[in-house]
Amino acid sequence: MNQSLPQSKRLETFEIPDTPMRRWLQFSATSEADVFRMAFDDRHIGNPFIRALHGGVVGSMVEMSAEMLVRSLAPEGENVELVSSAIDYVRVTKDVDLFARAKLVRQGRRLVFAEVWCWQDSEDTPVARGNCTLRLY
Amino acid sequence: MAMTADEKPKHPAEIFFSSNHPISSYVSVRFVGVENHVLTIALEAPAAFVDNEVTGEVHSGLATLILDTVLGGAVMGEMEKIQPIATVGLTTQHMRRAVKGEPLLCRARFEGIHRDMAHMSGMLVNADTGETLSTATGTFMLGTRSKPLGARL
Repeated sequence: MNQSLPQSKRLETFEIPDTPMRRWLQFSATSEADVFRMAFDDRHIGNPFIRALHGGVVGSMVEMSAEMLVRSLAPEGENVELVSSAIDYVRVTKDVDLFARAKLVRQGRRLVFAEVWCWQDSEDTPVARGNCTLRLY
Repeated sequence: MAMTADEKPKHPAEIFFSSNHPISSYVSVRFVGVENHVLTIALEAPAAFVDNEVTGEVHSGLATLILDTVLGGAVMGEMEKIQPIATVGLTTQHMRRAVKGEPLLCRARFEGIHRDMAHMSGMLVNADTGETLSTATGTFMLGTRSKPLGARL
Protein backbone atom coordinates (compact mmCIF):
# COMPACT_ATOMS: atom_id res chain seq x y z
CA MET A 1 0.00 0.00 0.00
CA ASN A 2 1.37 3.41 -0.90
CA GLN A 3 1.71 5.84 1.93
CA SER A 4 1.12 9.51 1.24
CA LEU A 5 4.15 11.71 1.76
CA PRO A 6 4.13 12.68 5.42
CA GLN A 7 6.18 15.87 5.14
CA SER A 8 5.48 17.14 1.64
CA LYS A 9 6.20 20.70 2.68
CA ARG A 10 9.80 19.75 3.49
CA LEU A 11 10.14 17.94 0.15
CA GLU A 12 9.12 21.12 -1.64
CA THR A 13 11.82 23.15 0.07
CA PHE A 14 14.53 20.45 -0.04
CA GLU A 15 17.63 21.41 -2.02
CA ILE A 16 19.37 18.71 -4.05
CA PRO A 17 23.07 18.62 -3.07
CA ASP A 18 25.27 19.85 -5.91
CA THR A 19 27.66 16.90 -6.26
CA PRO A 20 29.76 15.74 -9.24
CA MET A 21 27.33 12.81 -9.65
CA ARG A 22 24.32 15.16 -9.80
CA ARG A 23 26.11 17.22 -12.44
CA TRP A 24 27.15 14.13 -14.42
CA LEU A 25 23.60 12.85 -14.45
CA GLN A 26 22.23 16.40 -15.02
CA PHE A 27 19.72 15.63 -12.31
CA SER A 28 17.36 18.34 -11.10
CA ALA A 29 14.10 18.99 -9.31
CA THR A 30 10.93 19.95 -11.17
CA SER A 31 7.86 22.00 -10.28
CA GLU A 32 6.35 18.82 -8.81
CA ALA A 33 8.00 17.97 -5.49
CA ASP A 34 8.28 14.22 -6.08
CA VAL A 35 9.25 14.40 -9.79
CA PHE A 36 12.89 14.65 -10.88
CA ARG A 37 14.45 15.28 -14.27
CA MET A 38 17.58 14.04 -16.02
CA ALA A 39 18.51 16.40 -18.85
CA PHE A 40 19.72 14.29 -21.77
CA ASP A 41 23.39 14.34 -22.73
CA ASP A 42 25.22 12.22 -25.29
CA ARG A 43 27.21 10.54 -22.52
CA HIS A 44 23.95 8.94 -21.29
CA ILE A 45 23.69 6.85 -24.48
CA GLY A 46 24.13 3.10 -24.08
CA ASN A 47 23.26 1.90 -27.55
CA PRO A 48 24.67 4.30 -30.16
CA PHE A 49 22.86 2.55 -33.03
CA ILE A 50 19.35 3.24 -31.80
CA ARG A 51 20.38 6.17 -29.52
CA ALA A 52 18.86 4.49 -26.46
CA LEU A 53 19.83 5.49 -22.92
CA HIS A 54 22.28 3.25 -21.07
CA GLY A 55 20.43 0.85 -18.74
CA GLY A 56 22.84 1.80 -15.97
CA VAL A 57 22.08 5.50 -16.48
CA VAL A 58 18.36 4.81 -16.13
CA GLY A 59 19.22 2.71 -13.06
CA SER A 60 21.24 5.60 -11.60
CA MET A 61 18.30 7.94 -12.20
CA VAL A 62 15.96 5.54 -10.36
CA GLU A 63 18.39 5.25 -7.44
CA MET A 64 19.10 8.99 -7.18
CA SER A 65 15.38 9.85 -7.34
CA ALA A 66 14.59 7.41 -4.53
CA GLU A 67 17.53 8.72 -2.53
CA MET A 68 16.55 12.38 -2.95
CA LEU A 69 12.96 11.64 -1.94
CA VAL A 70 14.12 9.85 1.19
CA ARG A 71 16.80 12.44 2.02
CA SER A 72 14.16 15.15 1.81
CA LEU A 73 11.94 13.31 4.28
CA ALA A 74 14.58 11.96 6.66
CA PRO A 75 14.87 13.53 10.12
CA GLU A 76 17.48 16.29 10.39
CA GLY A 77 21.00 14.85 10.73
CA GLU A 78 20.09 11.37 9.44
CA ASN A 79 22.12 9.96 6.57
CA VAL A 80 20.64 7.88 3.78
CA GLU A 81 22.29 5.01 1.94
CA LEU A 82 20.93 2.83 -0.82
CA VAL A 83 20.88 -0.87 0.09
CA SER A 84 19.39 -2.38 -3.04
CA SER A 85 17.51 -1.61 -6.22
CA ALA A 86 15.50 -3.74 -8.64
CA ILE A 87 14.81 -2.18 -12.00
CA ASP A 88 12.53 -3.33 -14.81
CA TYR A 89 13.11 -1.80 -18.23
CA VAL A 90 9.61 -1.82 -19.62
CA ARG A 91 10.04 0.16 -22.84
CA VAL A 92 12.86 1.22 -25.18
CA THR A 93 14.32 4.65 -24.40
CA LYS A 94 15.49 7.41 -26.72
CA ASP A 95 17.82 10.40 -26.68
CA VAL A 96 15.63 12.88 -24.79
CA ASP A 97 15.18 13.92 -21.14
CA LEU A 98 14.13 11.34 -18.59
CA PHE A 99 11.69 12.03 -15.75
CA ALA A 100 11.10 10.07 -12.57
CA ARG A 101 8.34 10.12 -9.97
CA ALA A 102 9.39 8.68 -6.62
CA LYS A 103 6.86 7.37 -4.12
CA LEU A 104 7.32 6.27 -0.57
CA VAL A 105 6.08 2.71 -0.04
CA ARG A 106 6.91 2.46 3.64
CA GLN A 107 9.11 4.37 6.05
CA GLY A 108 10.30 2.44 9.07
CA ARG A 109 12.76 3.46 11.78
CA ARG A 110 15.82 2.17 9.93
CA LEU A 111 14.64 1.22 6.45
CA VAL A 112 12.69 3.05 3.80
CA PHE A 113 11.12 1.41 0.76
CA ALA A 114 10.53 3.56 -2.32
CA GLU A 115 9.10 2.99 -5.78
CA VAL A 116 10.16 5.00 -8.83
CA TRP A 117 8.57 5.22 -12.27
CA CYS A 118 10.47 6.77 -15.19
CA TRP A 119 9.15 8.16 -18.45
CA GLN A 120 10.20 10.31 -21.40
CA ASP A 121 7.27 11.39 -23.61
CA SER A 122 4.39 10.85 -21.23
CA GLU A 123 3.94 9.49 -17.75
CA ASP A 124 1.35 7.14 -19.27
CA THR A 125 4.09 5.37 -21.23
CA PRO A 126 6.75 4.55 -18.64
CA VAL A 127 10.17 3.31 -19.73
CA ALA A 128 11.32 1.86 -16.41
CA ARG A 129 10.22 1.20 -12.87
CA GLY A 130 12.34 0.52 -9.83
CA ASN A 131 11.99 -0.60 -6.24
CA CYS A 132 14.63 0.68 -3.87
CA THR A 133 15.50 -0.12 -0.27
CA LEU A 134 17.32 2.58 1.64
CA ARG A 135 18.92 2.62 5.07
CA LEU A 136 18.70 5.53 7.48
CA TYR A 137 21.70 5.82 9.79
CA MET B 1 45.42 -3.95 -40.80
CA ALA B 2 45.75 -7.73 -41.21
CA MET B 3 46.36 -9.85 -38.13
CA THR B 4 49.78 -11.50 -37.89
CA ALA B 5 50.11 -15.26 -37.35
CA ASP B 6 51.04 -15.01 -33.65
CA GLU B 7 48.27 -12.54 -32.79
CA LYS B 8 45.29 -14.19 -31.10
CA PRO B 9 41.85 -12.98 -32.23
CA LYS B 10 40.34 -10.61 -29.70
CA HIS B 11 37.52 -11.84 -27.50
CA PRO B 12 34.21 -10.11 -28.47
CA ALA B 13 34.04 -8.56 -25.00
CA GLU B 14 37.56 -7.15 -25.44
CA ILE B 15 36.49 -5.56 -28.74
CA PHE B 16 33.35 -4.22 -27.03
CA PHE B 17 35.32 -2.61 -24.18
CA SER B 18 38.07 -1.21 -26.43
CA SER B 19 35.64 0.28 -28.95
CA ASN B 20 34.52 3.89 -28.93
CA HIS B 21 31.59 3.23 -26.62
CA PRO B 22 30.11 6.33 -24.90
CA ILE B 23 31.01 4.84 -21.50
CA SER B 24 34.72 5.18 -22.32
CA SER B 25 34.34 8.98 -22.20
CA TYR B 26 33.82 8.94 -18.42
CA VAL B 27 35.04 5.59 -17.07
CA SER B 28 38.35 4.11 -18.09
CA VAL B 29 37.72 0.35 -18.21
CA ARG B 30 40.37 -2.26 -19.04
CA PHE B 31 39.65 -5.75 -20.30
CA VAL B 32 41.34 -8.28 -18.00
CA GLY B 33 40.14 -11.59 -19.40
CA VAL B 34 37.47 -14.26 -19.72
CA GLU B 35 37.74 -17.61 -17.99
CA ASN B 36 35.04 -20.24 -17.52
CA HIS B 37 32.33 -17.83 -18.71
CA VAL B 38 33.44 -15.15 -16.25
CA LEU B 39 34.42 -11.80 -17.76
CA THR B 40 36.65 -9.52 -15.67
CA ILE B 41 37.07 -5.78 -16.24
CA ALA B 42 39.31 -3.41 -14.25
CA LEU B 43 38.59 0.25 -13.53
CA GLU B 44 39.16 3.04 -11.04
CA ALA B 45 36.23 4.75 -9.33
CA PRO B 46 36.01 8.03 -11.30
CA ALA B 47 35.85 11.49 -9.73
CA ALA B 48 32.84 12.37 -11.91
CA PHE B 49 30.65 10.04 -9.82
CA VAL B 50 31.55 11.44 -6.38
CA ASP B 51 28.46 11.91 -4.24
CA ASN B 52 30.12 12.95 -0.99
CA GLU B 53 32.96 15.40 -1.50
CA VAL B 54 34.06 15.11 2.15
CA THR B 55 34.59 11.33 2.13
CA GLY B 56 35.18 10.95 -1.63
CA GLU B 57 32.52 8.24 -1.83
CA VAL B 58 31.01 7.75 -5.28
CA HIS B 59 27.29 7.28 -5.86
CA SER B 60 25.86 3.76 -5.92
CA GLY B 61 24.81 4.60 -9.48
CA LEU B 62 28.40 3.92 -10.57
CA ALA B 63 28.09 0.29 -9.45
CA THR B 64 24.71 -0.01 -11.18
CA LEU B 65 26.11 1.48 -14.38
CA ILE B 66 29.29 -0.61 -14.40
CA LEU B 67 27.51 -3.84 -13.54
CA ASP B 68 24.93 -3.23 -16.29
CA THR B 69 27.75 -2.53 -18.75
CA VAL B 70 29.92 -5.51 -17.82
CA LEU B 71 27.02 -7.95 -17.57
CA GLY B 72 25.95 -6.74 -21.02
CA GLY B 73 29.51 -7.02 -22.34
CA ALA B 74 29.70 -10.58 -21.04
CA VAL B 75 26.51 -11.41 -22.94
CA MET B 76 28.22 -10.09 -26.10
CA GLY B 77 31.13 -12.43 -25.40
CA GLU B 78 28.83 -15.46 -25.31
CA MET B 79 27.04 -14.79 -28.59
CA GLU B 80 28.11 -16.47 -31.82
CA LYS B 81 27.17 -13.37 -33.77
CA ILE B 82 27.24 -9.85 -32.32
CA GLN B 83 23.76 -8.36 -32.16
CA PRO B 84 22.17 -5.55 -30.16
CA ILE B 85 21.00 -6.43 -26.67
CA ALA B 86 18.80 -4.63 -24.16
CA THR B 87 18.67 -4.79 -20.37
CA VAL B 88 15.31 -6.16 -19.27
CA GLY B 89 15.91 -6.33 -15.53
CA LEU B 90 18.73 -5.48 -13.15
CA THR B 91 18.78 -6.11 -9.41
CA THR B 92 21.69 -4.70 -7.44
CA GLN B 93 22.71 -4.98 -3.80
CA HIS B 94 25.07 -2.35 -2.48
CA MET B 95 27.28 -3.20 0.48
CA ARG B 96 29.71 -0.31 0.39
CA ARG B 97 30.22 2.64 -1.93
CA ALA B 98 33.55 2.88 -3.71
CA VAL B 99 35.84 5.82 -2.98
CA LYS B 100 37.24 8.08 -5.72
CA GLY B 101 40.32 6.46 -7.27
CA GLU B 102 39.70 3.06 -5.63
CA PRO B 103 40.94 0.21 -7.86
CA LEU B 104 38.01 -2.03 -8.76
CA LEU B 105 37.33 -5.26 -10.59
CA CYS B 106 33.96 -6.04 -12.08
CA ARG B 107 33.21 -9.70 -12.78
CA ALA B 108 30.26 -10.93 -14.79
CA ARG B 109 29.23 -14.56 -14.96
CA PHE B 110 27.20 -15.96 -17.83
CA GLU B 111 24.49 -18.13 -16.24
CA GLY B 112 22.66 -19.20 -19.39
CA ILE B 113 20.47 -18.32 -22.34
CA HIS B 114 16.90 -19.49 -22.71
CA ARG B 115 15.12 -18.55 -25.95
CA ASP B 116 16.29 -14.96 -26.50
CA MET B 117 16.97 -14.07 -22.87
CA ALA B 118 20.44 -14.13 -21.33
CA HIS B 119 20.75 -14.48 -17.56
CA MET B 120 23.81 -13.01 -15.87
CA SER B 121 25.22 -12.37 -12.42
CA GLY B 122 28.09 -10.18 -11.35
CA MET B 123 29.98 -8.41 -8.63
CA LEU B 124 32.08 -5.30 -8.10
CA VAL B 125 35.04 -5.84 -5.77
CA ASN B 126 38.06 -3.95 -4.49
CA ALA B 127 40.92 -5.02 -6.77
CA ASP B 128 43.46 -5.21 -3.92
CA THR B 129 41.51 -6.85 -1.11
CA GLY B 130 38.71 -8.66 -2.94
CA GLU B 131 36.12 -7.00 -0.67
CA THR B 132 32.69 -7.12 -2.32
CA LEU B 133 31.13 -3.70 -2.86
CA SER B 134 28.07 -4.62 -4.94
CA THR B 135 26.45 -7.70 -6.44
CA ALA B 136 23.90 -7.91 -9.24
CA THR B 137 21.79 -10.20 -11.36
CA GLY B 138 20.58 -9.12 -14.77
CA THR B 139 18.49 -10.32 -17.67
CA PHE B 140 19.16 -9.18 -21.23
CA MET B 141 17.13 -9.58 -24.39
CA LEU B 142 19.12 -10.65 -27.44
CA GLY B 143 18.27 -8.74 -30.59
CA THR B 144 16.28 -5.54 -30.22
CA ARG B 145 13.82 -3.72 -32.42
CA SER B 146 11.89 -6.88 -33.22
CA LYS B 147 8.25 -6.65 -34.30
CA PRO B 148 5.77 -6.25 -31.44
CA LEU B 149 4.20 -9.48 -30.22
CA GLY B 150 0.79 -8.58 -31.68
CA ALA B 151 2.29 -8.26 -35.17
CA ARG B 152 3.61 -11.80 -35.03
CA LEU B 153 0.35 -13.50 -33.98
